[in-house]
Amino acid sequence: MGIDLSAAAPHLVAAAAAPRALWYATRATGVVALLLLTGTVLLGIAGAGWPRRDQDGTGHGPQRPGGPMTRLVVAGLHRNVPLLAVIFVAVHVLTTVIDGYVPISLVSAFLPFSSPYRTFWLGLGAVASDLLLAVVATSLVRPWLRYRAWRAVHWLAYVCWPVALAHGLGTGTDTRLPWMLLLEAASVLAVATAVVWRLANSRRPRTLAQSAAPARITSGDRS
Amino acid sequence: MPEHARAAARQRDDRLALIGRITTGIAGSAMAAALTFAAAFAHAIPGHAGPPPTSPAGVSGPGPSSTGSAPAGGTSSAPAGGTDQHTGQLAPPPQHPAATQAPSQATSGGS
Repeated sequence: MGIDLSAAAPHLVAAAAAPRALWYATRATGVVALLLLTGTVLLGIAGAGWPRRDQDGTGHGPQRPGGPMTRLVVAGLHRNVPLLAVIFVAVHVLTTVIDGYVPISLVSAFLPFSSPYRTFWLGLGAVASDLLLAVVATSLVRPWLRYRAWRAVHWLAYVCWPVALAHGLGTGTDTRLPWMLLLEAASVLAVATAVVWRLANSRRPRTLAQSAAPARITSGDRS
Repeated sequence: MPEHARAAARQRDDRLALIGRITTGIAGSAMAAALTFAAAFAHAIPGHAGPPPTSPAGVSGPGPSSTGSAPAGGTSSAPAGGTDQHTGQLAPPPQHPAATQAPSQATSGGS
């Protein structure tokens, strides 16, 4: 059974055509950005709620998986993954604007509810990208900010993620795809589980070892 | 430098290197995922290589999540030989931007 290249060639050429490639790049980078945001939120919750324990209870013994070095890795990833998300969001925005099939300007991508095309749902995307930029920018300049100010902005991450999810659900014509629904449902389930875990963990009484554990081993990504 | 401080510094360096490796892995995975998603979307969704609707009245589907009950080529009188393979799947954006009026020669060929 051979492959009819003469029949397939026009489709391959069409698939590689720039406008269509941008159209699919917009969708793909949007999904990946949402997944990276989900991972960022999960890492933030894990870094904040992860119990600091050691095996002998003194605060100086061998570390369990929740020890300061594990927290260091979690905090490091919590710093790096959102930067990746920003890159994908940037590509998502640029491909949308350059594609030109829908009238979305670069201003509309950052000024909420200013686009004539699906004003509300695209506005949510603009809100999410603005919040993401605010959270990432304030984290990058955190040494020069007061902790309370940084933390106040950082809490916006909990708004950014659901807004981005709503943007994807409302804007995309791809949301009826079963695997897209599965991805979004899995993201919601993962974040909901992490939030419940953190709330349950935060209600446990702090042990002496926890209070004695070094509090500033990382740069303090306690979301 | 005391031995235990040196060991702690070494352990910290190891963890920082681990962070770098994991981050690189995540970045590579994200790129691969983006390509995979793009291919999956290209397979499932017609895209906009076909003719956009000529007027809002001609739009098929109720809104953003239109399932494209009408074939993608349904808004044109394209010849049968150049139809979209992805018809019957999801529809492209139903709203037609004013700035990109469909050229008169446009058909759904090759999309």
